Amino acid sequence: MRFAITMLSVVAIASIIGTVVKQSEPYNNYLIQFGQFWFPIFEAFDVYNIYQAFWFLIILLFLVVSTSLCVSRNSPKIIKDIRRFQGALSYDSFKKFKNYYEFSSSHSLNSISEILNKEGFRIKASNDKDILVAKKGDLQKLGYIFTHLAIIVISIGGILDGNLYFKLQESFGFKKIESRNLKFSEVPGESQLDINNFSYRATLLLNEQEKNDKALLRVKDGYLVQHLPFEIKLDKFHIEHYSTGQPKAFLSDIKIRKDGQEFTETISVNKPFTMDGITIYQSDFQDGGSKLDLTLLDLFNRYQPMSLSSEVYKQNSFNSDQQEYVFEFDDFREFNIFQIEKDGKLKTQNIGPSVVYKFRNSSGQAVEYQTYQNPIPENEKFFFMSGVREDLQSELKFLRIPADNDLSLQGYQTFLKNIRSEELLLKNINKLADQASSLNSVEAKDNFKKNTQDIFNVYLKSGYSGLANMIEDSVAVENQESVADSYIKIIYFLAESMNQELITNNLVENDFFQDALNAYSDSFFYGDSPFLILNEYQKIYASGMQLTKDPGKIWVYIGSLFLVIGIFCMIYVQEIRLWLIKKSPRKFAVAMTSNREHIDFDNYCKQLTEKFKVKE
Amino acid sequence: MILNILFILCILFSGIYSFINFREFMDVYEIAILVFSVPVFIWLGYFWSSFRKLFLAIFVLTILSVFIFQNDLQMQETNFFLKYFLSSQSLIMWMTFFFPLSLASYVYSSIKSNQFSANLGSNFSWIALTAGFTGLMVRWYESYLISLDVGHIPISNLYEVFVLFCLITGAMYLYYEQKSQTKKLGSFVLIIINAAVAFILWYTFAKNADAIQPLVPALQSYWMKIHVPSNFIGYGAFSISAMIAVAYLLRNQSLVKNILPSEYVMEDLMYKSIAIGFIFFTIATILGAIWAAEAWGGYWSWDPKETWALIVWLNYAAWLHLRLVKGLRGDVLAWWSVIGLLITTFAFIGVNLFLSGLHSYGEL
Repeated sequence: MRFAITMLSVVAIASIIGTVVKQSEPYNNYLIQFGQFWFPIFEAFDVYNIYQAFWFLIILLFLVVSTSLCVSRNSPKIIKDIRRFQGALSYDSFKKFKNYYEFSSSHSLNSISEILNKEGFRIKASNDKDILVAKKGDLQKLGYIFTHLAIIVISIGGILDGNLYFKLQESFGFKKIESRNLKFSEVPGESQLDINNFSYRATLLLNEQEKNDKALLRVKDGYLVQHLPFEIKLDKFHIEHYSTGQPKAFLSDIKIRKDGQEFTETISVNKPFTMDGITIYQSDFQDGGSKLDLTLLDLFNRYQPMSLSSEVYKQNSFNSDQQEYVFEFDDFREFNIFQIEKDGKLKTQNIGPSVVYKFRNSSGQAVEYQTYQNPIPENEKFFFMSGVREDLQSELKFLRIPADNDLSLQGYQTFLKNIRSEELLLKNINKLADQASSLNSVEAKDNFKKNTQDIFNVYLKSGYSGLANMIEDSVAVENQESVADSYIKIIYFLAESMNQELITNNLVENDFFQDALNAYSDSFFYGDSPFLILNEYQKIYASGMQLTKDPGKIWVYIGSLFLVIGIFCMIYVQEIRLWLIKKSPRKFAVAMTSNREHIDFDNYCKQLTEKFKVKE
Repeated sequence: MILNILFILCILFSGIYSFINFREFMDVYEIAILVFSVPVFIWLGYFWSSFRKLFLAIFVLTILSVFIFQNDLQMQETNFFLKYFLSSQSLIMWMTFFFPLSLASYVYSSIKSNQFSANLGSNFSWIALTAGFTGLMVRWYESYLISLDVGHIPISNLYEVFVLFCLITGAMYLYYEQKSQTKKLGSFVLIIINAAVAFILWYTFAKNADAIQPLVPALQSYWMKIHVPSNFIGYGAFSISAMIAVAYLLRNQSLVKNILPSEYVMEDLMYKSIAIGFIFFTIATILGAIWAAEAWGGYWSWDPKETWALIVWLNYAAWLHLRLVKGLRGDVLAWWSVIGLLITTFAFIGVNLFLSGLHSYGEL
């Protein structure tokens, strides 16, 4: 018993460890998390898959065996106890009970027996006319058998569905976990499990229109291939949405083909489909190679203008200045749900598709981007957004390009062209110099023009941060702020006047330029990628399904039923033993005892005695 | 007598009306739950007479609220009664108002041995229960006003289950209060309810968590209707037991010595609430497993929430074993019950806060 409790505590502690250390992650994550020293130690104890660890299963098995022994040892005793009545007691000894009452009643012993029968007591047949021995609540003791049996049955069900069988095969060298990245058809036989494998939880990822009759079984840091008794084809995956844009349902239309017969089914979360003892669940989804039609908006006149046709999980490379650049498309999300402020209230809204990709430069360095197709509303303005990050751990930093009045990027493209035009710049600097009344000599004017051109060119070359550096290097600390202020004003004035055509054509509002200038300046932190414009797309999904074969489930459920019945019996069935003696024609004495005496029991005894007293 | 007839009529009316009008929106399991709930509620009223009054009050207020709403969600901004009394948000706010009042009255009655104040404490709790339960009912209705497909029973996120926790714990406490004929434990049990109230207020004002959100696909199942409430009967009962255990452990302190019920009563209540909690927690865990088998593809995945539920279960199984089989009594079990609440709290909130897993519906 003591040993069993120790083992149970070990199971509890191991279980807790399993909740703290995230289970079944790629082993590399653990190496990073725990370091070189601890990683192999934890691995030796199977901490990363603790619930499937051999030692864990052995302890569970031990607990089942010890519970079984316990039940088999105690059950005969209990059953005997249930069958047997307590012996008759002498009047003197049952006087000592806490619930002892003397009462007078016109009842005969027979009519008292009837009352006891109604109360659910069983009465011992006896020759003695003046003594009654009765008891009730035997179910309470059966509760013990039920609960313990339940634990055994549940555990057996669990073991049936665990991978103990595979573990044995593995330890004898018949099977081996595959960890290389192979096609299913290339996986060696020792890592394949045939359709007779009696329990598993495998996963199957299918692109739309793709089919397969093998599924993937993740084990530790590798996998096995599980053969299925049928072939599954994914016709279509779809997402239904609430009006707010949040997902309402994930559905897969599948075809199951077996022996020339075909079944069409739709599975969704909470609505799996079962066939041949294998239940097919909707478990997740991802992109299945969506087709993308893109145009590249060059932010810095670096590359040739070009369009791009690609697919998710594909790479596209191009050359510029004898350097090779590569797009690696990772994901395409048709729906992006954002919290957007509208009339002072946060509203959830779908803001449309986005593309996730990496842009790799010639030295092999990659930066990740997420670019949204549609302009996103913000304070009654609209911005084209693209997030960038250099490593996957950091947050995305967003480049926000203002949309023009047609909600297109045309305005910004024109803006870029104009601010880069030297001719426009000189013309507008002259205009500015002419307007400035303080410049009265030719020399001062030329000086002003030259300085202004320099400032603007620094901005063109390196944005606001370049200007900040320049000011820090050349201006006394106390004047820096005012100088910066006037520089910004000059740049704003020039940018606006260089882009008069945008205003006269009614393509942008006046507040466009501030945002455009910020966007241009932020572009210097955007990395090498051009800004992607998504013209058209064809979304293709991949649906992740889980295939579960769990013959032990029914046993777990039966065991659970036993458990509830057993607990109910143990807690709510009151076991009572009763002795009643007729002392004289109208005088009786009664004593009651229970293995569990508490307030309710005492009250019950009182009430029962009252019933004996009354003559109906 | 009239009350009894009214009570049964109202339940039958609710059941039959829902069956006739909403049958087409329910699947066979939901209809089964509806049909089954009618005798369960009637039995509950038979078992506990105060429940009849509570039910009637909730019934009348809910009907009134629905009547004023006129199927227009905007009414909660414009209609005076809805805005301040009968919309779900204000009803729940009234609940958060009356539970602290109740605690204050209980504490005052303990200090001054004032019976009037103790009665006031109970009554405030009854008002809080009425407001809270009506709040959830109206919230259920409001969710359908947002959109038919958004509508769902309001026990689907952390905000809603915290309200449910307050209500179930409060109701169970009031039952035991009547049964054991002592109001002296109110100042202890109401502490845990008010801790939950404080959380609700913080969650509402700091995080705007009171907005009704549509259900994620994993939660769209009739199982939620039975899994979540039975779990919270478990949590509520364990909390009551732990608070009584605190009172029990303090029984010899001179400060509170005279304001506590007898050791025997406290012991007994501690046991009873753990027993009822254990049964419901067992059922909830089993129902959870059956639901998981349907939604996640396995009845047991060693998900952190599942694992912690197992640990909670083992803990109270051991408690009951020691008491029932080994006959242990006294301080050890009281301490155990307090620690049990810590474990339960971690399983309830800590897992959502610190560990990730499948059960991530209630993140902060």
